[in-house]
Amino acid sequence: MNRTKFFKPLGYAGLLILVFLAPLFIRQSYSLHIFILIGVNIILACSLRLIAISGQMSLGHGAMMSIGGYTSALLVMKLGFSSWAGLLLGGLVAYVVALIIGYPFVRLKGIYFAMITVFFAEVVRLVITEWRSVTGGAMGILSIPRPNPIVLPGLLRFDFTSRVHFYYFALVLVLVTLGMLYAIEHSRVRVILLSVNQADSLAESLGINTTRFKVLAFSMGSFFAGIAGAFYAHYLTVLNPASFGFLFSIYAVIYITVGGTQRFSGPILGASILTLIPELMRGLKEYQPLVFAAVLIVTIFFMPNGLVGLLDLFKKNGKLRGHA
Amino acid sequence: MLEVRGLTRFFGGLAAVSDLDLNMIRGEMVGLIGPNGAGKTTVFNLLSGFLRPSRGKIIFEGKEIIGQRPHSIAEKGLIRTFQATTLFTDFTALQNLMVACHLNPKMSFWEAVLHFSGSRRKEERILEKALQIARFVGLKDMEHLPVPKLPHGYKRILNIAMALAAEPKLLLLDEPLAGMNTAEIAEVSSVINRIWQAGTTILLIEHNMRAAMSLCQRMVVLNFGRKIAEGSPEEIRRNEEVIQAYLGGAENAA
Repeated sequence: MNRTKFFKPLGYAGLLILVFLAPLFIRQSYSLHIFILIGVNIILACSLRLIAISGQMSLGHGAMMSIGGYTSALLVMKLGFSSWAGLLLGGLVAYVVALIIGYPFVRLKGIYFAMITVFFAEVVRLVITEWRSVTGGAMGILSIPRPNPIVLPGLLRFDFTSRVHFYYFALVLVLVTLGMLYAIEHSRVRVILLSVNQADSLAESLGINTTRFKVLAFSMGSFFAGIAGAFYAHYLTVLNPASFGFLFSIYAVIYITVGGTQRFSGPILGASILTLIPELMRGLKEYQPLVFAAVLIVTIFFMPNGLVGLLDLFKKNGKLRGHA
Repeated sequence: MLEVRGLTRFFGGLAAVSDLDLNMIRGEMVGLIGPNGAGKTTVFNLLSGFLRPSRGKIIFEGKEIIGQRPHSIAEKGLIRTFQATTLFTDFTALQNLMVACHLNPKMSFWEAVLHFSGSRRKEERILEKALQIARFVGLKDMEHLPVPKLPHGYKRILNIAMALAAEPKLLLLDEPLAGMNTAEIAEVSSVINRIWQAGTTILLIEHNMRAAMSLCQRMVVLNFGRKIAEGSPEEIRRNEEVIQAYLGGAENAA
């Protein structure tokens, strides 16, 4: 017990240092791109897990990224906002949209909620495609400006001309997001959300405003997805209605299912591994949906609690053996 | 404290509850009895806001509560339990109780997330209160058991304890003694009695006549959604219409 107490923070600190120094070892620009992608997917998966904890499964999480991305890109390009304001407002707009649709949506439960989020994502896609004067239609938006440079005179200059700068940008975003989600995870809010998930009439009968908590989880989760979308838009500098399509939303669900939703680390693990797999098997890239589907099926059959569930199982067995 | 006038609820063309009048005074324990399908649980659902009445008035502590969401009715102090044992099954008994302390001390979202020193003190108070209630209802030594491992009787007691944690002024208990053996009935009855002694007004649905009659001062009998009798347990026991409803109701209806 004391040993884990000592080694665990040490392990995390080591991991953090490694992640911070990674650009020193990774010289290939493409590899850095993969790591940035992992960061975006981690934000996506962890924010989706917050929604999942409340008992709702959103199949339109990618649409919130679209909303965040388009909001930020348009504010910066058409109204001259700074990209940092755009980033924050991208998240806030996704938050507000989720708040507005949340109240009617969370009246639906289980599969019906999931279905309506699919329709919502489709509506978002269609609006973006058809509103050509603003969004550029199916062609999308090209040459979105890079983030405004950060300059600390004499110390450092981040002008986002190299991938390394974006890498650190993504890293900071991931750490801030995880920090906020972690604070929620270790508060009473998680317990209330889980209780709403398990028996919402009972929670309601005890004076818990179940609708409010479900909407809160949905809109907070959407906020982070919106931020991730805005980041992505400025990183890739192009955005079109298909950027965060249906498959994208489904992948997010697969990340958290494969990683496991019971622990905070589940979606982080799932997103990291599943972003790496297609890269390690470059030849299979065209079959990515197929590979993911296979991984998902294997997970559901053999590890219903995902990868972290598997780890817990090993831990428990280890403990039992230790006692014997 | 509770005044119900002409309460009616239709399901399709069928009146599950029709023209029910019911008054409750602070500090009493009233039994709501009647054959299966008489509409007792529907009354609970109407009072607690889980169903909207088709007609009628529900005045609780001087205020009309019809149309309010269940959580805000609960906030006013009208707490109900459910007929089937409903618990948060992934949690331990103590965690269940701690969730049930949601209304007091109240904790806002940011308070909970940001972990101010004030919120830590509140969390300690929640734990303390949960333990105190566990002790009060006799759940001690079992509070750390996960719900599925609790004996049946204690699951029901936990149910009642959670309602208690929500600090009811009026407590609606829906068949708290269902499916229990004699020892468990005695145990749960004594818990209900203690809660009532401590000053909570209780409306009780129960099929176990002997237990209900020994607990309540007054009983209301429903049949086919209508009130057919009201009075002390003695009067109810002798009431012709009540006996008819329990023994020969089926033939009469046909």
